[in-house]
Amino acid sequence: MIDHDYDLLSRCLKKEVAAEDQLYHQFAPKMYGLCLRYAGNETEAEDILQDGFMRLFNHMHQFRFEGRVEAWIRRIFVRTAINYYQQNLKFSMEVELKNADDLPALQEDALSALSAKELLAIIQHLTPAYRTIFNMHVIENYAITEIADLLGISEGTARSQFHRAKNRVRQMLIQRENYHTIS
Amino acid sequence: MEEKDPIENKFNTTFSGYEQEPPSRVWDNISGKLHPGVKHAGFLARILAFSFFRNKPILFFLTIGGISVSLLFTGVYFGFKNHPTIRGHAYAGEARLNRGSAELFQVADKVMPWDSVTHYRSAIIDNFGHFQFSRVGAGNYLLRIAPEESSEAAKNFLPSWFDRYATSDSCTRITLGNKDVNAEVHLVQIEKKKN
Repeated sequence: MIDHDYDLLSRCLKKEVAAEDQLYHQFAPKMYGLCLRYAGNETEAEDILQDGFMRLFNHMHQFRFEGRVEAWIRRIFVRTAINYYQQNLKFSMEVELKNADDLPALQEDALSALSAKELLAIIQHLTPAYRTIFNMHVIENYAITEIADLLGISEGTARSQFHRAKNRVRQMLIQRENYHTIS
Repeated sequence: MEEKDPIENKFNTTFSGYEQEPPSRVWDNISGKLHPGVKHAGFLARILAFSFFRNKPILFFLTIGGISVSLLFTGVYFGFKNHPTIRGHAYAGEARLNRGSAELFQVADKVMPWDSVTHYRSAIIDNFGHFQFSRVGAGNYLLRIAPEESSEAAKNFLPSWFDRYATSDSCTRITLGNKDVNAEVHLVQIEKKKN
């Protein structure tokens, strides 16, 4: 698979139109899935996807042909998403949330029953800053120090913002659970 | 490695291999930006097909005319862009040479054996000493300026090679790429015999 991807990238570097088409269609569904998580809605996700692929095609020569191509492409898209929301990534303490310990416990079976679509809706309801940190740490598995570095904030801020983001997610999950229990 | 709680686990497992097919317009936009010419060609092809099959002759011929004019201008532009000019002035001492000719020789080989040098083109030097060779192909050239035999300059100056040499074996070669070259030639003065 790695050889196949390297070969595909080499052909793209030679400006082969068929290879560009193939590369896009191979990675677009995965990257669109990523963009939907970082975006507030589908329109913004499409913008990020387009920007990400333009950045990928324009910076393809920087790939060192080491490691997995998909991991490299994924990093490009995460950076594109960060740049897209750069002006809106305000890591202030504007939303005071209840401490996680004060929130009622979440039923694990209720959590496991949630579909990808429902979880996506919850992520998209977060502010851009919370959404970005939550995605980077929970799904992309970036370490807090790495997140702080990429977002240009202190490690302490990154850590506290992540916990706030997670509490907000927990709060939305509980609200949703209560809503379904009542109805 | 930090341990993840159930919420983190749920999101992580759900979205690890999450895929969603993007709308086709995204690739249309990207490929349009990567290959703008193809996009425009596709647009023109659609207009042509529409006008031809819907029996709209005016639109059809206007599009054909527009494409032809664009191709003509593009051809002219690239024709000139890829065939630059060698121009310059010839000097006889401090004054500009006002009658004479310029000869351009093409050198086919980099090491310049004499059987690889061929006469390429001639030009007349105007009253202000100016000469010009337009639309010259890329390559290596030698330039020779000769004052007209009946002129006053011919009595005092030798036919000379760019940029100020009496013989071709020591002269400066002009290497022409895709940019115009300015070549100023100073004729070599005849040494007068002392009585």
